Amino acid sequence: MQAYKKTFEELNKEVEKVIVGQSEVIEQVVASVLCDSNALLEGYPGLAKTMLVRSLAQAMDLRFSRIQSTPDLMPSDITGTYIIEEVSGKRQFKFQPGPVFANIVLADEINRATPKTQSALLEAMQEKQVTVGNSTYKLDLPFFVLATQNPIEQEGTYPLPEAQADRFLLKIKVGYPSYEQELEIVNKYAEELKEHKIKTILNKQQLLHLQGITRQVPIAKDLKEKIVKLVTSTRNMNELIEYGASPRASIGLILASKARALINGRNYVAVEDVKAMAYPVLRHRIILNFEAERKGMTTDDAVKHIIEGKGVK
Amino acid sequence: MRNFEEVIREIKRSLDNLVIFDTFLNSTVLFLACYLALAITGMQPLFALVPAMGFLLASLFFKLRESKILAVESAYPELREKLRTAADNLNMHNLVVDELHTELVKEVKRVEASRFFDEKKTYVKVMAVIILSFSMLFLTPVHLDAASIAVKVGNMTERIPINFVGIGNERFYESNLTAGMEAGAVVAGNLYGQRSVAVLGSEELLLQLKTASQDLNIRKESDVSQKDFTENYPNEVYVSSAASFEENIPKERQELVKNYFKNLAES
Repeated sequence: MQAYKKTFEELNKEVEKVIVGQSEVIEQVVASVLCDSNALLEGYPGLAKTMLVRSLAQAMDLRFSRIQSTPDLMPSDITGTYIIEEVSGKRQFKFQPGPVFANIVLADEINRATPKTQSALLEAMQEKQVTVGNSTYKLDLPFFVLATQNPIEQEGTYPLPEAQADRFLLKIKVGYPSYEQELEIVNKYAEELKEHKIKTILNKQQLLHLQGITRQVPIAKDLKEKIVKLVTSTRNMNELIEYGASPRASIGLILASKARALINGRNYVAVEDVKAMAYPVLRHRIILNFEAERKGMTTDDAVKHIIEGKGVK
Repeated sequence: MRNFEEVIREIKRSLDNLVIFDTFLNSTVLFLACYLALAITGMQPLFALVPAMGFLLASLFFKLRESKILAVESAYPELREKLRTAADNLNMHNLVVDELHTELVKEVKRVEASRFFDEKKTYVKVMAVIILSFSMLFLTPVHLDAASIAVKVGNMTERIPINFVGIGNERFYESNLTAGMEAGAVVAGNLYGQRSVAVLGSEELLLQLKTASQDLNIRKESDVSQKDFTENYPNEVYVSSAASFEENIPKERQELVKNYFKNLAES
């Protein structure tokens, strides 16, 4: 386990050559990758979300593609389409794969794409395959979608419905760097144009192996029960929450906790893993009621209230 | 190399043994305390078995059900969550779990049973058992009636004057039981036992032993004086018997029998 911890530390170190700070974001994105699931990144523009994902893809030797969502983006722009190709004087249809045929797909500002386009991406996320016409094309594993959302400028956007947001394992908040970190960013990027080469730390096979190892990390019975109680209590907290989290959240929280334990070199899940992962797992799965919104509460406040109430110590 | 399952079993067995010992000790203290209290108050002391057995069974039931893994984790914080996770996944076998089990087999070697043994408390309990046992030994033959003492001790005004005279002299000890003495007080060495025995109905007997003389004067020794004893032997001795038992003894022979018995009496 210490060998795995060292690997992740090196991965973090490589990404931090390019991205300053954001170690928690990197950890959560890696956790999402280890759980073989997708993540939603929410943050203001200019916080290096795209750069972060690209750097991670390089460090893990994965094919990266970026989709800039706009209202006029079509599903075929994501999945691919048939084009007419002339071969030896003969014209035939040839399938041209779309940007979704990569290992890591960054869907920038997914809330700007139309629901139809969103659903095409979501199908790929869920099924790990794409259907075009009568043909179904399997996607190359490992496959992850990291979608971003801009919390401002929501006019003319199509917010992801809760049912679709539920398919993302984590909703990762990307915050502003601290003063020292911003100073370092400025020194790094405003002084000289330097390309930072990122070493490959993991390859596909190793990543697939790590995904298997993640699920093998054991968790104590009482901790598992606490997690389930935590998620079920989101459905009973009528004074703050309108709609609670689904059983998918219970599975997600256990998996995410296991991934975090593995990243930290532990061969068991600790309470601190659950507490750290509860926020990204639950914040996009609960809907606050009017009373909570009137008080100015956020979903994180509601999650904190539940964690402290359930005695997850 | 021992496997993790054996290690867990050993931990549980050791801690269960400590729990059983401690519970038995507590029950013994409780039993002795109740026994003494019941004996002093004049009730049947064997009733002390009831609370002691009840405490023993209840204590064993609840304490043996407590998680020993949590107890070890409390004593050894570095094993917190780790030991419990490994114990919950005892039958799971994969790379990570096997590594966890192997790691814990080494770490659990540092777990000592003495860490769960409160020496001070056990010492106090053992001392309590010893003190209570000796209290019972000393108080039981004295027949201490605590209820009577509590009531009467304030009223006792006179004590029994006891004169112990040495062995070999004429006098035994004398005791004067006066009307002021209350029944139930202990008189050490009183030949008569409890004073209450001397009370007949509503009367008190005033007893005084007459001293017996046992003087022996060697100089008064003399021969045995001859004394004449009057014969009261009847002249005729005859036996009357039933006719069926009558024997036809000739007259000459009857005289013989008579003389025989006469000579026998004279000798």
